[in-house]
Amino acid sequence: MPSLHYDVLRTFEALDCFRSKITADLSASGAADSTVSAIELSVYEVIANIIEHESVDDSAEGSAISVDCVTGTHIICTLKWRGNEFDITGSPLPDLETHFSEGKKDGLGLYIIHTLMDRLRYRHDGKFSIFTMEKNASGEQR
Amino acid sequence: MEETMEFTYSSAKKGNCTVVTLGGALDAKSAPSLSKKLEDELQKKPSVVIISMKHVDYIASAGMGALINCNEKLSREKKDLRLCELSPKVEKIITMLGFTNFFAIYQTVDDAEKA
Repeated sequence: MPSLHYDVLRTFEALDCFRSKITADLSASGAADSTVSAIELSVYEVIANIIEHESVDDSAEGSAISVDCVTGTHIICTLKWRGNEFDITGSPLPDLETHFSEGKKDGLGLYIIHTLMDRLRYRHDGKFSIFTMEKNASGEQR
Repeated sequence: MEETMEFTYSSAKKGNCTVVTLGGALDAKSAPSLSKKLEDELQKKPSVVIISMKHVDYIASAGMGALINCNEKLSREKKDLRLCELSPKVEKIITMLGFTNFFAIYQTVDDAEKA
């Protein structure tokens, strides 16, 4: 199956460029527009979260975030980055009603990833976090 | 490859409404600036804030959070935030996420003003 690879520096400027590129590449792979938008936003949310909350020493090898996408009937995106263990799949989902009624901002990214993706997996190998997201390429709902 | 536009913000009075026109990406990079500008707008005590999003090419959780926060502050004072002229991409994202029930959304600025 065709695969795509990107190395994304931990800056919002690099994230902007990456977002445009992965969107164009996934569209070219024939994935449904809704799937492309879902992956574009979910991957963006994960990387923005890493940029905002994860620290890494400048000299560390692998300070860039590696993104691999396998395209086919399902699109499987695997993000790998150096840092402390942070299991996105283990955090409780925010209550949307409360968010809107109380004007809360935190946790929306998590809500977006869980809502838009079909399957999430996370593991930490002691040095790197490895986060995999899966989405049906046809755009059909779970 | 689509170009990412710079975040832009402008506002004007229209009747008793403040019409804010946004452009570019409402994302983690621009959200602090958006929040600050909306906060400044609220200090002027508008009855209604209408946000035109026809030039917004992308919205992520941080941008959404800024709008949610502004919506809550206005609601607390029995005032309104109304979104209008959603670009196709923004409309798709807001619909996918089920946020259409939480925001008052209109086709045009005039529709939002008359609501």
